[in-house]
Amino acid sequence: MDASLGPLFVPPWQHNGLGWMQLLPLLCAAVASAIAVVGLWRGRLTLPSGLAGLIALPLTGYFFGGLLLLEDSKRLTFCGSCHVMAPLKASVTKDDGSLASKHFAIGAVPTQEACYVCHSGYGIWGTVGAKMSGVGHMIRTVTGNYQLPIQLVGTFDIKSCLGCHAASLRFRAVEEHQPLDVQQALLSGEMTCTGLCHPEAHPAEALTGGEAAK
Amino acid sequence: MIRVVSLMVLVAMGILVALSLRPQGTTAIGFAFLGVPLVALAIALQIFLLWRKGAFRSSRLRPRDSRKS
Repeated sequence: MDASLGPLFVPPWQHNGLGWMQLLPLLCAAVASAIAVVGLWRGRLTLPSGLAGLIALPLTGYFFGGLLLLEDSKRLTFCGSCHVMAPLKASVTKDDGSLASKHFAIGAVPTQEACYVCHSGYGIWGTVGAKMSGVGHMIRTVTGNYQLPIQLVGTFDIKSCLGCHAASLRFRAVEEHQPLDVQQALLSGEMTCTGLCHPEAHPAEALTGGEAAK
Repeated sequence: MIRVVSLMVLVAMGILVALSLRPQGTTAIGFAFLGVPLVALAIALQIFLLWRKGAFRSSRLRPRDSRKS
């Protein structure tokens, strides 16, 4: 991802400067701020400028800001920006043998959205669930209402794995995947991919938020 | 009162600019829990101010116009 390594290692989605999703809220904010400064200075505004600068543009700016947040909160860098998640981000990106880092190392998940792709669940309701969880994460971060080591709420949605693996010939060819009772146990959540057969998704030390587990 | 609304909008726009330039956990929390309530309150106040000034009243219903007819 570093441009200094050469152009071959720069993903096509990576761009320098601001994207249009950042420019739109900035544009609204710039005009609204200019009008608000006039309002603050003079203590009065004309009807059109009052409507535009103190109602329409702030509303539009926050709408675009919300869209930006919905999209950018999928990024690995966004997830890793909170201190609790920082060790997880570091673990995923350094190829430490965990299942997540193995996927990341070979590009089996989009490296830009690695956390989101596996943890959002499958389909549109997975996306809705992930956004609701994200709000929960923000509330817990603000209130400090969480315990270390952090734990996954509920069971991991195996459909996130099957979205890529189910139709894979190599996955189907593995003998251990073929018995119907194993398949049922995996789908019902009685059995998980990690632990017995595959390495843990994340190493235990990455779940402590950088501190020793309390 | 317009100064209070303007100040609230300025602070809210500052939070929006911070999120736009650096979308990350802290700016997202500021946007969601500080910026959104602030901008909602500012807009509600501004609508109230404009309503009190009669900006949303139809000109046909104003007394001056009714006297003419």
